[in-house]
Amino acid sequence: MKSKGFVLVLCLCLVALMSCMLWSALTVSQLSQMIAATGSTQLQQRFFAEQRHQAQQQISHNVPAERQLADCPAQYALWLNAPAVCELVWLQTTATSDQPGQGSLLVRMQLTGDTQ
Amino acid sequence: MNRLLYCCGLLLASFSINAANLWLERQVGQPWLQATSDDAPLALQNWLLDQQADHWPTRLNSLFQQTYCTERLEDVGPFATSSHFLAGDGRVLLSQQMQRQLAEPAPMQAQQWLRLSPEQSQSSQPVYLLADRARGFVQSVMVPQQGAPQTLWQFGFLPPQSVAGFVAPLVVSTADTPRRQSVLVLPARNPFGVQFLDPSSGRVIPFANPSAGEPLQASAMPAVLDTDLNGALDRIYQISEDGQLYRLQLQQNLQVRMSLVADLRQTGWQYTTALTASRARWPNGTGWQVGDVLMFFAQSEHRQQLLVVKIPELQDSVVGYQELSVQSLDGGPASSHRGWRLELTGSIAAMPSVMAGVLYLPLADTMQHCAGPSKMDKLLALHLYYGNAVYAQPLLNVDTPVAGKLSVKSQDNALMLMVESQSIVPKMLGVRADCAGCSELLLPSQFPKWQRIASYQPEQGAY
Repeated sequence: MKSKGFVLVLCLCLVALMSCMLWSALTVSQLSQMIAATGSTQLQQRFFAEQRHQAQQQISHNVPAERQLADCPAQYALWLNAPAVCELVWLQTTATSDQPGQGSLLVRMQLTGDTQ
Repeated sequence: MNRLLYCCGLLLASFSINAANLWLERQVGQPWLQATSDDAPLALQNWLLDQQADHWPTRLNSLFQQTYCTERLEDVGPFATSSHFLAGDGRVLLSQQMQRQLAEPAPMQAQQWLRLSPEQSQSSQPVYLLADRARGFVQSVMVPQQGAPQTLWQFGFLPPQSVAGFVAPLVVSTADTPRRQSVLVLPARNPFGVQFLDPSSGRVIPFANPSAGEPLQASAMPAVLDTDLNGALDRIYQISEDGQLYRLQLQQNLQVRMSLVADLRQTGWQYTTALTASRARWPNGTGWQVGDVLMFFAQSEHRQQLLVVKIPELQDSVVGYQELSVQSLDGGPASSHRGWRLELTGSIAAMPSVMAGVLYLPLADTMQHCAGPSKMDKLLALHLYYGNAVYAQPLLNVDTPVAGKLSVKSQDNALMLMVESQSIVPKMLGVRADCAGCSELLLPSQFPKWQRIASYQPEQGAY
């Protein structure tokens, strides 16, 4: 009688142990999946934030400049002794609940004179 | 325009004892008379020629006929104005077009002037710098609101016989000096080939490491660059008369590091006109190469050539004359990655401009005879990096002297290149980096152009 009770307790312990192992394995895999998804989600969020930032850049012709540069930085299609001016602009896209913010330091080159 | 003429008037008034007597010439090359007088300002005496001198009437008459074909000097009465020149009391003031004809083979404006800002001049009154190429000096003149103009200082920067180049006063700030100050950069016969002047006092600012080497035989106007875009010059290019091109790197406290970047010595060619330089970047096969692009001229007895040299930031060897591709007006893109050179068919009318990577050089057609006042100049338009024609023709005909400032106007969904109020190029092109010598139509919608310097993610609430 005693030995039967012992076997029962042993089985119950084994079942409990197996359940714990199974639960922890499931949790770990779920966690790793979440971790993996977090990376790609973050990349996705960064991508959308960058897209939003570039779209904002296209419509930000009149954003006040931080300062006017004495000369334009090196470029291939350069303008020299010409009616062009380069300005330093800080552009910042605000963060939303599901997307991070994005900021950049840009040089804006625009033609002066009759162009605008 | 009135304000400009007023400024010119103020400046020229400084050289006349009687401020009411003004002889002016408009930038477009046509003289304009504000007041007649027996006295002409000293500033114009280089070109105020005495008709009664023995040899001038013949030469001037042939010059008039050669240039304009329609007018003769004898037809002009006392103090008459024409569309091309101004004459009076036995003397004549020539238009810029005629000055260029006379000044062969280095036809550039004899005088250049520049108004200093109050910080540069350290004066509350308007102060002008005037450089006289023919006589080789720079003068600082204060023009007060009331009272007579006053010459503050005068500095002879080269022996007159060696002055053959274009002189433009240039005021910039030196980098990393104890106090940032403006300097006037001029050519000099010292080991560096350049010297700095304090524009407020006219005193020479010495370099911290005056080299004891041989003086550089240089008379060209040096080119200055601000490589870190902090508003202060930190790099100078100067070329010796025989063609050795040097890069002067300005370091702390006006220390100068000098290095030879190109050796363009070639028998018969002289390098005495101004250098033009700009920061640029160009594809080098594997990526982008950052460096400086230099444009300058070489002159022989009756010939002139334009040289464009690319100097990478980290240069491995000195550029040689034979390494530059020899371009012709109807040739294809240059094959050399060092640069190119082109013999010019006209005389240089103004310093080159670069717009969207296209080099524009106004040329005066000296071979033109009796073509009338139209089509006075030509505009050379070439790819800056490859030297090939960008438009259908490398030489564009221009109905007006390209002496004024070039401007750009958008019209009909294209960009138009203008001088004064006249259109020169109805549809401007710009260079493309994806193939050698290629160009594309410039559209107003492409501007403003953006270039990203840095990117970051803003963080808030984190400490």
